[in-house]
Amino acid sequence: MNAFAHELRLLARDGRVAVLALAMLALLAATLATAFAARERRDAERALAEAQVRAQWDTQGDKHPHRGAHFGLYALRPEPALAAFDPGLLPYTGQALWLEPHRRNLSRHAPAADEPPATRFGRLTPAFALAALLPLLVIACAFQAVSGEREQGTLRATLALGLPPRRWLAAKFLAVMGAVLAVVLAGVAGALLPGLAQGTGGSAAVTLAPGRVAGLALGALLYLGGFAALALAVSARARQSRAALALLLGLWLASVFVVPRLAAAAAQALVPVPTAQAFRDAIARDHEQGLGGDGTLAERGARFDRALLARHGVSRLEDLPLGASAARRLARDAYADRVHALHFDRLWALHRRQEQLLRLAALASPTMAMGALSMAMAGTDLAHQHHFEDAAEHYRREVNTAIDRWDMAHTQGLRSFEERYAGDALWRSVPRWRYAAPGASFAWREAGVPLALLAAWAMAGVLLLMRAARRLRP
Amino acid sequence: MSAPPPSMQAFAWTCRAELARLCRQRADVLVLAALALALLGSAVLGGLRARDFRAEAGARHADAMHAQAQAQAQARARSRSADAAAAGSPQAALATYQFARACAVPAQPQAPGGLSLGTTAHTLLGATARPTVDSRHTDAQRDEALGHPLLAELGTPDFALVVALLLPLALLAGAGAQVQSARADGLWRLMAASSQRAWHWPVAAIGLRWLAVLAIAVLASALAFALDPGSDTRSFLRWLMCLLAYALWWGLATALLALPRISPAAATLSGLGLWLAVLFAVPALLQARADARDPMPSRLAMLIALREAQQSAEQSADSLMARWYAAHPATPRPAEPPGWPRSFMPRYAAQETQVRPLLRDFDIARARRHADLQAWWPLAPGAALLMAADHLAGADARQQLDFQHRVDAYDDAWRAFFLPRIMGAQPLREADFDSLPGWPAPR
Repeated sequence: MNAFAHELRLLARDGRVAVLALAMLALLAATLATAFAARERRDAERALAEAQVRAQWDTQGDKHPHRGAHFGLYALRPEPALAAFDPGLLPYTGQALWLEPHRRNLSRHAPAADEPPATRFGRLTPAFALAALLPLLVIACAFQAVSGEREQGTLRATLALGLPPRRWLAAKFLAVMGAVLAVVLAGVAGALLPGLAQGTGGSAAVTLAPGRVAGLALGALLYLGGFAALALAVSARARQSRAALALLLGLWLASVFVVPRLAAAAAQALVPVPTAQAFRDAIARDHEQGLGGDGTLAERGARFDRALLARHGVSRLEDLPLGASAARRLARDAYADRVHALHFDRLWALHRRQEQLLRLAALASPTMAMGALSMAMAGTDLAHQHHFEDAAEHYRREVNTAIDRWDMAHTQGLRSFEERYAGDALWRSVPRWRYAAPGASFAWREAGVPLALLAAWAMAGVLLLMRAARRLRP
Repeated sequence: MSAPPPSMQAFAWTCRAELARLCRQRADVLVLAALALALLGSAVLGGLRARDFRAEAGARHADAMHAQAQAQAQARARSRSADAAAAGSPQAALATYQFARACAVPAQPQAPGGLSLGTTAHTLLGATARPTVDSRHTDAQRDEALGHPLLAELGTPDFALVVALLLPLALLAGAGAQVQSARADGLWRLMAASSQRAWHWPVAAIGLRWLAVLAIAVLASALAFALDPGSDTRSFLRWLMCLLAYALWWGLATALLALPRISPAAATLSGLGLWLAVLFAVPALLQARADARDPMPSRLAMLIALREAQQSAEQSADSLMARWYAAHPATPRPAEPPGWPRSFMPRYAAQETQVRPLLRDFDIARARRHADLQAWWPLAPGAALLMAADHLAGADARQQLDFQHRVDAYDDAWRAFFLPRIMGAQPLREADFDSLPGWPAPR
């Protein structure tokens, strides 16, 4: 305990560390506070837009029901509370998903398109501060913790006192972690306190998603702990502090900037995805020609018509006791939904394979593992996006099926598309879009592999530190 | 010829000695080798991506031209066959409509000579637009990004981005660290004592390393441009000017960081702090300033306005159609109100005139913010370098705005060509294909 207190005092007296710690604290508090405030503004805007979209749908007036369906609805994904901490993929996944008949869309209007070129360096978010900048504070605290004493000659005296090297290094490790955690906690407190009383801002995130916050905290502890252990191990082995610093900064650069981008390039090259044109052409082709012996669109349509006429004992579509066009649409769209599901599942399988390659690369970059965990806990990774898009697709089918069934039940035979026999009562009868984001257990499942990688990283750091303690020489 | 002044000769000797020292210093060699590896690798990727980008654009253009040629051949065959759709018939209107909705040659930007510097901006903003007689911004939207979003964020960084990130690090790690280390080891004092001027050695140390880093960046740039078949000398020279300015900025920063009497570790951390501040913090602050003073329009508000335009056009479809025929007396009006697609055409045209300004607002705001950010280039040289690279690649905000204006004009010409033919239910004749509005083939 005395050794720990002594090391903590040494750190506090180091002007460099104090300056860096204050800068990091200010940065964390500022990015957290502004991010949570911005997220609340965006959420309010989204809620208003959702209400307006629905109001526009409800008051379409008299139209042919299928034309009303084509007016469409938008599914707007609510931003998770912790998206302010880590916006993850939200800038790239689009804000709005258009729900229309016959076709499944992807989200559009990605915010990244409106950002200036400098964001390509990296977004200055709280997650970036944690994953990219806090390790620098750790390195600054630790790089000359042992090598500096060796250079000054005090290491020999310390070892001569009989203090076991392992305990001494453990005290340094705890002091470094204590200093960094103090900065983090102060920064987080500074950002959350203003909203704590109202239950807004970041404090809302803590209260609404304690499981996810706990996951983030655990990941951050393992991540920073690994860096602290590694930095102390390098310092213990290096003859000169500047050599230790150079090596640690090189490892930091590789982990934060080089490996992630090389891994992304490799994933793109090894698992290419089709172009949008090829993707849509393939869907159109399978819908037109049919899947595995189902026959072409025309053949399927003719079969359906024959079956429908036979079921109702009539010989012409005009004589059917139900809306023939609506019945045909239901059958055609059901098939189209199958074709879309097949192709989208294939696309998402390609995304998962790309993610697996990125996870492999996280073995060489703990920052990638921390980023994956952070996005999973914040609800801004691809798994959460797919959960939303699946829910939106389910809703899209529900809406269009409801409208076509109404049309089928309220008309007979063939009706012209110019007729306007549906009104606001139909539009209002369509259930409202409600999206329930997955719970913390979903996030923990997605974060399982990154968490394991971070635990391995922390363990590796501690093992290196223990080995350095065994071989410590003045 | 007169002999150089003694001070110049002494400086030259100092430079030669420092060059020999540089070649023997493992740390210097490692830094320069790592920089060369990264920049040359990135240059190769950048050049090849530019090549692929141009090839894909060319293929899209060729496919569209082929489709038009096929449609022309089919129109020729139909006009000679017995079951050719008669002028004025719904079938004729439908056939003309189906060609008009999907067979336009795509509008693609003419990527200038600097495309090897980066293609990200083209990808983010969408490099292709296809005019149609449908509503391009609503029902007929086909601009989707299918890639994993995380790869879009990380992605293979553009060559210009890699230069912007690594060049300063190489200078700070090489030149900056060396000078402070030499001071800490007492080498600077020794050099100063044995040189004619005290400044000879630090200037030689920083200057030579600066030249080495710049030479690697220039060589890598030449490789990137050489691999791009569409590159040109003018773009290359303009890029070199930008590169020189960027390297000078960081060279000056490195020299200023070498002045204070601080430990090598403190100097390294200060240099890293400056790098982080200039490349990350300052652009973030400038963006926050721009968001506060000149925020981008709201995409969600745009969606609401777009749907209002859709609904309004649909409610007025009949009157819009009547007005269209009244304004185009040369087009024969059918006896009965026509159905789809003719009933939709004037509505879509009216919708486009309302929707287009909403979308242009984004391009205009982007161009305005871009111009504002450019004024701050001394504080954010990294962002300025990326903006210059985007400009040379033909994808900066101003060029995007100009491209969108040209696409709108192309869209208008396409619609003006086909609407009378669809509304008049005229089948496409062979001669029509020779006067189709077109778009030049990409380079």
